[in-house]
Amino acid sequence: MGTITTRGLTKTYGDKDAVKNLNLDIQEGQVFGFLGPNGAGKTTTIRLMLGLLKPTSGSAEIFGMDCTKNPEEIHKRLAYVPGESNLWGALTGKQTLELLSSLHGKVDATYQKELVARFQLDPSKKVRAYSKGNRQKLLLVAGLSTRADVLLLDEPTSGLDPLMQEVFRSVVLEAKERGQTIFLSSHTLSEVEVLCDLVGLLRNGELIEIGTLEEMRHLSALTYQITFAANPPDLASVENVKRVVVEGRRVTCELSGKPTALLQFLANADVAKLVCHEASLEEIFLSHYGN
Amino acid sequence: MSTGLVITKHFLKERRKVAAALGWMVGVVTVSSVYGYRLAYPNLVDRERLAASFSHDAGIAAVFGPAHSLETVAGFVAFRTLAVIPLIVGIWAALTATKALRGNEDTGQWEILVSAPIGRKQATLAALRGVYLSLTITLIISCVALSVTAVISKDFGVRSALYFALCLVSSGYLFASIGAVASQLVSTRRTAATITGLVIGLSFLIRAVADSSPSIAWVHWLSPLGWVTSTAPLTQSNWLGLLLIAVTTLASTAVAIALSGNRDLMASLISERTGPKNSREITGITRLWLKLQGLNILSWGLGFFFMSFAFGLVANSATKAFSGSTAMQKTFGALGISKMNELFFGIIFLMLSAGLMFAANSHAAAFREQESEGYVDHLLVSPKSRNEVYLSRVFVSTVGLTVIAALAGLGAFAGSSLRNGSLGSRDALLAGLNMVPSSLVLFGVSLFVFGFFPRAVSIVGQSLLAWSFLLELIGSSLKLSHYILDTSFLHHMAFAPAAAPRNGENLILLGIFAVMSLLGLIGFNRRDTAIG
Repeated sequence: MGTITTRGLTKTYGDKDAVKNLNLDIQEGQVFGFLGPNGAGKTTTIRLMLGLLKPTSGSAEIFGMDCTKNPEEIHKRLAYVPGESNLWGALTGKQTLELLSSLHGKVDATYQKELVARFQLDPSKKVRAYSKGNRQKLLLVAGLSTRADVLLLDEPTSGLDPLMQEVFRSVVLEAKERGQTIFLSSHTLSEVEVLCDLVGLLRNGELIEIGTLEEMRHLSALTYQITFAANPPDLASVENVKRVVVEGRRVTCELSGKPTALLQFLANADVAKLVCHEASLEEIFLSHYGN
Repeated sequence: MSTGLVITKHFLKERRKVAAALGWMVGVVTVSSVYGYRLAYPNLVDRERLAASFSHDAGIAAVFGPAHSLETVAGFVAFRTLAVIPLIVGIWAALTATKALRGNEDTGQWEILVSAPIGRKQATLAALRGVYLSLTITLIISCVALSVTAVISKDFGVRSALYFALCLVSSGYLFASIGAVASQLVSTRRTAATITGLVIGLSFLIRAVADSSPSIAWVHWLSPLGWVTSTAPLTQSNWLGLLLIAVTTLASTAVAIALSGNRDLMASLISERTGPKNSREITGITRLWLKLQGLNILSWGLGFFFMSFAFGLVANSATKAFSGSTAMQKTFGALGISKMNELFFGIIFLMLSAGLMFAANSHAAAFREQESEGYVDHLLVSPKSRNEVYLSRVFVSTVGLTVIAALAGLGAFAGSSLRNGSLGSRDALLAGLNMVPSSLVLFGVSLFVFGFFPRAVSIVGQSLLAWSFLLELIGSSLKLSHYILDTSFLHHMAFAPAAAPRNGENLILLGIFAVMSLLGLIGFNRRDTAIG
């Protein structure tokens, strides 16, 4: 059994399934990327795991404990970083860190200081005076400095500049090396691509794909870019070829399955240049959610 | 529809219901004053004795403002309502204006509004137009209610009633415009509301000092609330006060609009301290609640202290007036109350109880707001249980309400002692604490609603408070059945210090509070946390 497990997890609001029959099994030390468009049910899933929402049916377990029945026990070994959250404006950054640390009960004070420095956070200011990015840094420092066994990160880099996103990546990689289990919901696909061992794709509350990035790439089409010396021939009718886009003499298409037919077709054509690459996570994402 | 009109409609729509409720409240208070006066002072001898006691008393004039023609229904109604209603309308309008302008800027909504094809100044004008139009709803309903009262009671004419309504609501326009200026000066809604509150407080203080001594009576022209009392509706009718209010409102509005166009968005003309170098550590949920609610509890406590202090100062004069009313002696004599001084304080503490109940409901509503804005999530994702989060919040509020009530008792004692009154410190403290059980019952009901129907906390609490207050105000006059009167939370309160606190009944009320709070906790544990 994994560190984070969901079985038939379902949350319904009226007629709408926000999360539907979700089955996940995330092992200790894994970094799991949770992807999906807005409104797909990612935050609802995380709130169910935190015990803030009660499932309509099914269950979520962390460390083998039910998230609805034992939230306090689970929270002792878990840290959560929301992507967007209100913080008490009257408190300073330092007071907020102290408060959140004291609530969690376990914090690595030396590491917290190090994170404050790495994220270039000024904790003497009142939270009200912080920009959105600085508030997000505060939440990241508070969550990561607990060194909790499980990190639930819900779009944690929203509002961070590219430099700070890079700091975030290195901190998460360090956490991964320490063996912490990380559940990362994100829209930054390059981030997921770099950090995650396992990726799940959610659409309308349902898990439509789950696997390692390699497995997903294997299942996905290869992208071909072919530049012809003269006017390009029609590739649409070639076996296993789809999504053909013609731009002058250059043709972009996707190939699922064996390339034999395409290669035979191209052998008779005047090809000037041929480029083939595996799908990026962005392309996989778009192929699942794009029109 | 133009962008400005859309913004105006948006702000009007947000506030129209409360504005209408305020209008009806003006009507209810006026009607109750008319019929209450007739019942309490049925004959001319009683009325002239009341006028003699109140008209030349410095303390009464300081607290309520100058009294004119108290031997008439119209004079008494004007005296009673003019002391309270403009203050309530003014405070509400100030809070509304600061919320509409600085509050929306705090939350980032203003940024969205002004990104529409409209200038910053025009947007401010449009928002203020919405606030002023909601006040106009209050004014229209007040006009209707007072005109109907005039026609039925025949104690004053319809024209006088219309002028009276205008005098009562005018402070709203004035303090809304001052709130609008404060919203441009400082960077948070809370500070803007505090500054406007200070202006209202200072205005009250200046008027009180001026009206307490005829030799410096001219000073009341320095106070906006002095302008309101100088209008003398239903008796002398002085338009100069209204003219000053109108000119100041227009000038403040113009200043607010001009300032809004000449500063950066989210910035203020007075820059705020970003944070102290050595801030005190906050550890634990109870300390957090104390930090968040401490200032609120202190403000309410000081407000109650000074209010009951002021009533303590005027207690002797008021007692004389009560003694002059044969009807009041008869009514309260039947309840075993014969000491008129204590009776006066009993009535005051009953009124203060309504205020304390309001505070109690606002504590539950603030808890709900903390939840809906996502703050409570930070606590619930820690290893702290929902029980701990909930019970620590209830504990801080319960202690806070008790402190506020005790301060009210001590204030009454201090005021009374300064005028050599007979109210003892123990009786005063007990009378203050006697307000706690009924307000805790309302708090308990609000917590129950919080547990099961969180979005309805404010509306249910405020409706129950309005119902209780209304029953106390008109219930006895209408000779309603005790089954109906018993539904008022205030009805179960002893008239302390005129009557000894009913320990048995208070224990039952505290028991109801405990049960409702626990049911609320069960609901909170069983439901989803609800953001938005």
